[in-house]
Amino acid sequence: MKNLNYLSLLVGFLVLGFTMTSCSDDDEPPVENPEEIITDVTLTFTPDGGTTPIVATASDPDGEGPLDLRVDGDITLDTNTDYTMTIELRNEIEDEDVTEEIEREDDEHMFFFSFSEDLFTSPEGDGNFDGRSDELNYNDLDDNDYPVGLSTSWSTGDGGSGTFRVVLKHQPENIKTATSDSGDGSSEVDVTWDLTIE
Amino acid sequence: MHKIYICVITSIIYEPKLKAFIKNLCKPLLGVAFFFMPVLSASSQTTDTCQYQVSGVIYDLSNKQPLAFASIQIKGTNIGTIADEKGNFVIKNLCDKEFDLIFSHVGFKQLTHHHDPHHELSQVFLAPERVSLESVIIEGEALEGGLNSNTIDKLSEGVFEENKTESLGDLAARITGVSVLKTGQNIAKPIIHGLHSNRVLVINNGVRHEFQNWGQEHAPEIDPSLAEDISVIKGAATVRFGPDALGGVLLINPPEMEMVSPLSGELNLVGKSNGRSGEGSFKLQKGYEQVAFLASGSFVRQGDLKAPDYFLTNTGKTEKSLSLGAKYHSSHFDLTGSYSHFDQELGILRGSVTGNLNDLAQAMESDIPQNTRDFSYDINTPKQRVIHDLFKLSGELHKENQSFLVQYGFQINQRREFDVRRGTNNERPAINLELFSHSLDVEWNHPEWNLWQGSIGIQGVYQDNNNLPGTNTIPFIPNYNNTRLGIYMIESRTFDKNTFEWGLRYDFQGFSVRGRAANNDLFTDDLTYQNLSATVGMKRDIKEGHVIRTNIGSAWRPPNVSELYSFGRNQSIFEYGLWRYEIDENNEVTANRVLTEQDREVPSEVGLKWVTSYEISQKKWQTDLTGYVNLIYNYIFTKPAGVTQNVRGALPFFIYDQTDALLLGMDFSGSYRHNEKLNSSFNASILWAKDVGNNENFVGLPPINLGYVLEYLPARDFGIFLNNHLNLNLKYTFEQFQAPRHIGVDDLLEAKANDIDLFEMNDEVFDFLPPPSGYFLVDASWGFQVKNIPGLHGSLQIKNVLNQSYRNYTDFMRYVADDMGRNFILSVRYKF
Repeated sequence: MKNLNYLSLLVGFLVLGFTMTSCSDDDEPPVENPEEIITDVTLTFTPDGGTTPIVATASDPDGEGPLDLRVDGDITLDTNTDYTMTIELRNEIEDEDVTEEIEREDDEHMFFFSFSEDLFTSPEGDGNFDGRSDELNYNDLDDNDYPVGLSTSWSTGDGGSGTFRVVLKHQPENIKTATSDSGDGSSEVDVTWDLTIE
Repeated sequence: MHKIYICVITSIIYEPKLKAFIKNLCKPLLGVAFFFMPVLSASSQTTDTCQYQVSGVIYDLSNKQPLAFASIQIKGTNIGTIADEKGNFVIKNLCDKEFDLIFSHVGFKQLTHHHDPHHELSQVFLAPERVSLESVIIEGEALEGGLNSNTIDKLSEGVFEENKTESLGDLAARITGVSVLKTGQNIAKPIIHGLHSNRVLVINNGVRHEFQNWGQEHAPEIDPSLAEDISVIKGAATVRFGPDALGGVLLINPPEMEMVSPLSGELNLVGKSNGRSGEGSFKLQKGYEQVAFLASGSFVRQGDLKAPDYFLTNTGKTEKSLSLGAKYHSSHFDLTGSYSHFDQELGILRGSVTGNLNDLAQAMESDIPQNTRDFSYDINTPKQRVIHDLFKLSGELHKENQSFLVQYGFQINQRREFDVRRGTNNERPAINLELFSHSLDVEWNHPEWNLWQGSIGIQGVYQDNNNLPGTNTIPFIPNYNNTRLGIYMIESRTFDKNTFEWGLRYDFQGFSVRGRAANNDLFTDDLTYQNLSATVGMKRDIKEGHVIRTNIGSAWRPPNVSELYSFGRNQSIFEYGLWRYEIDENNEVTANRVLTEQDREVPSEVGLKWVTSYEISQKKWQTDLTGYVNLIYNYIFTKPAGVTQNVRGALPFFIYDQTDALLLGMDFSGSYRHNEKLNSSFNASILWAKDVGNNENFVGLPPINLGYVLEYLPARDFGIFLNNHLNLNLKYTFEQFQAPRHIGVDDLLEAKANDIDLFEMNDEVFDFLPPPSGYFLVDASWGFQVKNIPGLHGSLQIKNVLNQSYRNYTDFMRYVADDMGRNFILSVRYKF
């Protein structure tokens, strides 16, 4: 008889278990604004003297998806011309301007550049990606007087073609110093364009 | 009635938002109370007869050998007996009354145990006077045992005591066959026979530890320094414990609350040179006739750890934990309530942060990790903050030949992970998850039916997992509700020297999922899974001191939310869950859509594990050889599918897929007592595994390792130091010879630049680096007591005595940094 008693108890819990299974809520995860993602990079080369600027873009509409980004067109610059180059960063998924954020946090960001030799007369060389002290003409400085790179100056040579690589490094917590280089911090932008000067 | 109690308690403690939820849950619990009441009243009607008996076996704690001729006496009476030469004893004709048993033997510490004839008293371990350990009793098997035919390895008391300030993963890895999966020094998960995370179950204080187990960098939130012991079930104990136990089960037990015991306790203080950490813990215990209490707590503050040649910047941690327990006891009924709280903040090596393949190449190439600084206690991003709370209430009803157990557990797991992010986002968690789990276990250990002993039980779990707002990232995993119900039966029968066993279990699991796609679009799904599991086994006492156990068990687990839905970047790789990617006719991978069961079927993982062990214990030596075969169907893993070029640069992407896996291995451990002063012990474990579906190797399998320990117990005192024991611990870990191919970052980048898809022809898994070479580690320790201060114990340990630079194959930090260098650990324990 006792056994039966326990068995009925067990059945009781079984029923209870099934009533528990009926519980459910339907909280939806909040809508979040993913500020980390950059989908579009736009370079604008404005020649000194005000002729039409040359614009190059790279965009990756699927963000963190597996599809490659699209680098639109080659950059074609005139020979022996001085340009001011500005960089704009956007998150098209969220329709957000990331450039402003970089400006706000400029003491922990720095752009580095790498390009084929002899394309420019100023800066000479192949850029400062492989050496912080290599020549580069930054037009903007952060609060600590270190360069940022949202605006830079370029003087083209007699002609040629090669590649032009732009790298944005995030260097928070005082990683950005007078000597920090492209090996410090983590990459937020790393895009390479083909560049022709003719 | 007590069920209502916990509802009241929980609703006082938790915020209003939760109240409604808990209130809902309390309704069925009221039902439990009503169920319970008639049983409670029935239990007090038993008649007093003097036909009870108490029996058990007495062992020597130091070598687990039966101890002959110990004396057993009932306190305050002249009733008693002497154990036989095999340690067996029985006292008959006892009345239905409680009493204190005194166990004594010349040269051993006397033990007093409050007992009533309704509890099983199976094993009594008496500690020799010269060791620092205490005599203990193991009552019955309660929730722990599972199966007789299953191989269970328990960490020896001495090793546990000496190392319990380690993380749970590191401590468990001291058991042969268990290794550790790490993300730096502070995050450690146990690997049992090559499997980890969702394939290993953690049972803490009798309750399934429910946490974000899918993440390899999510360690179980349990403080082993407050536990009493740790053991590992090496078989697939799903029948007893439910889904996920494909590799095995890790059991963590709290100290037993002893009735009628004076106020006792201990205070521990520990200092470690590496990390310059200070740690403290306490334990207090008191038992009356009917109630007993236990309180314990610990605190840890650790700064940056150090590899032999450099500091490991941002590897500090702080940890606080607290545990409270109370037990009510009457002749047939025990009611236990407990609460534990764990709060940890830990830093992750700063130099491990990478944004793309170039960063990864740079991090792997640098001699010292990037951004390495001087020692500091600061914890910056990347870091994790985890808080885990567990409430448990269990009632156990004992009769002459049966018992009935009900256990309710409520857990809250909060996990916040902070990445290195721009500006104010750096202060925001990138992952902020809250997981509530309710569990109800009911078990009936029935009276013998035709010589079959066994139990029938049901286990119900209800979980609610939510992403908390404000992370500014699309949630990596969706919100979900999970309901699980299991029913099982385990029976065993002993014929002469053989014990046969079988078990059956049915599980049902229902998920309701709500997540956000990359463009914030909502997706929802309802998923159900069910499975039948079975186990059969046998234990045979071949002859004196020779035992063989063999067990075949099936296990299963449904795919977890991260395997189905994960999407996006994890350091310098992208990962897409089974329902987040598609492969078109051009073999191109896209991830624009969230799939469902109709698009891609994802069957549950089903495993079949056969474990056999042969144990020999003789006076001078003991050995244990365990072999296993584990076949897992629909094994879920990630494989490389390409390299994508996005604004951030080039990153490889991995997709989840299913295959069949085969794991074979062997564990060996043995010990030899040379003489009164000298003991040797040896252990080895070897694992071979293959993706048999694709005939490929897996990444991250623990390599072969060997260990040797020499223990010296000098008979004489060193000045004021008594009962000295000295240990020398040698460990060699081989290079993993079974690693998959390695593709360097430069090769990946070069192929990408030339538009070559490296994985089109061969999607075999790969590693960025070849496995690290083998290494030899030496640890040494000295334990002692102090003259004229009874209860004061101390120890000095030196880990990695040779200050060896090494990298552990199953540690993700091996890509960027060496493991910890030499560490001096001084600990003082005062017992009263």
